Amino acid sequence: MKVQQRVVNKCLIVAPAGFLDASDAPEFRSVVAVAMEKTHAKHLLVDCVDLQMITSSGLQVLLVTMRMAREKGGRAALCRVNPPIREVLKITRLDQFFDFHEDESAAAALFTD
Amino acid sequence: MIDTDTNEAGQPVRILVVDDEPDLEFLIVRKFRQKIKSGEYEFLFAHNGIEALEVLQKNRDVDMVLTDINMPEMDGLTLLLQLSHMDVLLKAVIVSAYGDMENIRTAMNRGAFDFLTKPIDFNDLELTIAKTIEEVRALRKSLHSQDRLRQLENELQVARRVQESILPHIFPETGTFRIYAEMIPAKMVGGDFYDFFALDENRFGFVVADVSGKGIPAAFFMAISRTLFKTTATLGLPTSECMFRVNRVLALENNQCMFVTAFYGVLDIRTGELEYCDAGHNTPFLLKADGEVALLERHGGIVLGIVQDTPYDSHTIQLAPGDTLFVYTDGVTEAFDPAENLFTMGRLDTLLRSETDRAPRSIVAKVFSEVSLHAAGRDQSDDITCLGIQYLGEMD
Repeated sequence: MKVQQRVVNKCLIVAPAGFLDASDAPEFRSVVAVAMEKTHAKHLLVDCVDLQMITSSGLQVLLVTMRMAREKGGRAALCRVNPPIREVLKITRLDQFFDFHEDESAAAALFTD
Repeated sequence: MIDTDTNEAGQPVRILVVDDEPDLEFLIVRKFRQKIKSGEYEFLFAHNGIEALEVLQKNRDVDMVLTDINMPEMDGLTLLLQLSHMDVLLKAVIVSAYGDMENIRTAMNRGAFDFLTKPIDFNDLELTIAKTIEEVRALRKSLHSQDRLRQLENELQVARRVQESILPHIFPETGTFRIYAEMIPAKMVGGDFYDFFALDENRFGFVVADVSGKGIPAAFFMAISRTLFKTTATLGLPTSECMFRVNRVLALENNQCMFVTAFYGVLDIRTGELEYCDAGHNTPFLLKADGEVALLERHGGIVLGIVQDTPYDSHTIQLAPGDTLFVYTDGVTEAFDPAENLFTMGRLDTLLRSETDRAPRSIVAKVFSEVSLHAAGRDQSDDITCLGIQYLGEMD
């Protein structure tokens, strides 16, 4: 799967594209883990603008990456989540758990300490 | 350098040379003197096909046979035929007269790996040995993996049976209610489950759950969740308290962030009162006896296993005689057809609305058959579970 990534201050922004399912979840996990290590980022922002759909395996890996950021003492959030994925988050009620933002740069700016 | 000259256990490569020419043994031993001394190669010699077979009977670990074609008693081509009937893993290389295409073709047809022509060029022989041994190694390795794969498949079959056997398959039908459920895993083992149990004389509990991910990790988490659920539920707690307790235990040390979505309902089989709580699960359908179809109101909380000590709320509704509750997992609505179209919630809704029969068994069967029609042979990507429970009314 294609995962765009960049760092703004101490925030790693990753943008997975397409389907995040059981076959792509391990790769996404390692991409984030490696990038956080390399860039010394503390916070994580997952930009979902190009993410079309997500399965339970995908949600699981999102939760794991959020945990990685928190273990580094950072914060984690999602931004630009499209309607089908919002629906999945609504059903699972994980929408109460994730921190959502509409705007990518504003979200990244929150995480600069 | 690739280690092709000794095999993994450090055993020498064993080569059987079959030729009625007495000089060959001497020439080979001289040429490969170093490798024989260092224990890389070991040569065995036979003077015709019969002798060769005898040697192979005694030495089943021979890696390669180098054989001449024309020999007394049994020639090389006959030996090749015999080799194919023996249960040995080796490759044969034949030595033929220069330009003897007919015999070379016959030999290749009979399974020879390669050929050399006379007079033997020893450098060529050395290369051929190395190449042949590499092939034998790869073959043995792949057979070994195949064996392991077969073994794993057998173990998975056992796991599948274990998993099937922990889901209840005897469906109670009393005068006041009836229930039916089915789970079909996408892989050999799955992460969905259903369960049901009597809590006391009047209250009957039922649960449908879906563990995140699939395959073996999901199956493990499913087994844990199902046991935890049953032991907690049979304490007879309110559905919300049951969810709260199950969630608290699942959230402990859950580094992999596995989670479970679950719907837990308790039907009072005397009165038709249904108390329920859902943990991030797909909303069940209520199929009313009067023909109306509606989604349940959502009451509960987040998926189980992620947020410790989070509250869940429950809700109680009254079922009328003949009403059926249909609970399912997202394997239904997210079933793909060959063109990657989802079954969708809309289609499930339409299907349930078109049904007038409220018998749980026929509703579940109907949904499974529609999903399978939709899939049209495409591999199932997620486990599919359906459960129906119908309140039949107070006994006279």
